[in-house]
Amino acid sequence: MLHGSASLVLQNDDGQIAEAHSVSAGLDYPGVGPELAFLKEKGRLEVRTATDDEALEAFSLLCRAEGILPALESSHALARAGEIAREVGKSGAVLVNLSGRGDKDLSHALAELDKRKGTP
Amino acid sequence: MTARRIEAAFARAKGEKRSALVAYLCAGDPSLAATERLVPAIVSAGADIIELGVPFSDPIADGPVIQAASQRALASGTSLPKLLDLVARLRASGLSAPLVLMGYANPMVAMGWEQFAQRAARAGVDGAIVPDLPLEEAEPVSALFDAAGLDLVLLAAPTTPPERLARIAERTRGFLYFVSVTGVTGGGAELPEELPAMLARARQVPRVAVGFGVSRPEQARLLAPHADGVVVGTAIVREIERAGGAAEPVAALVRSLRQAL
Repeated sequence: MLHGSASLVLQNDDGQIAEAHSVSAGLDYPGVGPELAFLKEKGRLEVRTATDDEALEAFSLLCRAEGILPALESSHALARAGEIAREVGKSGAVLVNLSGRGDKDLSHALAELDKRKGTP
Repeated sequence: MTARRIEAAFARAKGEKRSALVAYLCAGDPSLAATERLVPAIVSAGADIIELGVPFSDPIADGPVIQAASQRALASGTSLPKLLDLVARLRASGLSAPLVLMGYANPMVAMGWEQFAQRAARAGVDGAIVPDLPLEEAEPVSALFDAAGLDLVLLAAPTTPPERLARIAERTRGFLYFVSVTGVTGGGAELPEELPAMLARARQVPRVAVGFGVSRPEQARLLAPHADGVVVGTAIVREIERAGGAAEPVAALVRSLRQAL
């Protein structure tokens, strides 16, 4: 239970909240929305994660391939799109929700990408 | 049986025609060993009720002084189970003053409400104040506490409307904790002028303690006639920090607060 809502939070066994980190400001929070936690507990949602590096890679890929600038938050979803597409196969359809645009993230994303240049 | 310690402390203060002094300190700041020394010293210095803070990573109702104390306590390895062991040791060594925990919901949720209520009552805790547990969520918890013999002390604020205040007054146990300011603990600012009028409305319950913005003996003296108890936290925590956990300077502050009531 954090900030007035009961949800899934990053915490230790004593119920102390862990320090969160994310390259994306909108995800830099040690919990998720209660609706998502509820759907996950109902088994109606399968949750996957993406790292900073994977999100930045997906961000670059969509910029280059489609000329669309996704928000860094949405880039985490994009990072899993390829893997899910392979799972559903050619006959399936994959819908990615670009929940926000990346204009706001551009200078931050470029700096983060710069930092990673030259690293494999 | 435990709840009676709170009632008895208020009754004794009333018999002496004064307000009860509720003294807050954060358990484990700077260490649990220091807390074990500080609690009896604060009681001997005249505190009627001990409010023992349960350190939490995200203490949203607390100002910078208690936030820092909470961090120090966590850094010294304090956890809710260790804190309950400390209370049991204090009781075993003869501490008879009422002891109320002030802690946020999540560590109690992690332990399980029922488990917490039973373990706390068994250790010798009389009640708990859970500032991020609003009235709407308090009912089932309060029922579990009642069953264990632990008081769930509810809070009211200057912004609480009369009809909600009446529901809080009905549900609270031990006493009603009236938050004097619209802000966090240790505000340091002046107390609102309307506070005595607000407290008069709150005193539909037998015992009302006022806290959150009371740091100086003058403020405690000013508020004392309007409440059954006055809670002082930040000033004590600051003194504990300044004295490095030594008991005597803290006891001196508590004596001056008690004399003001």
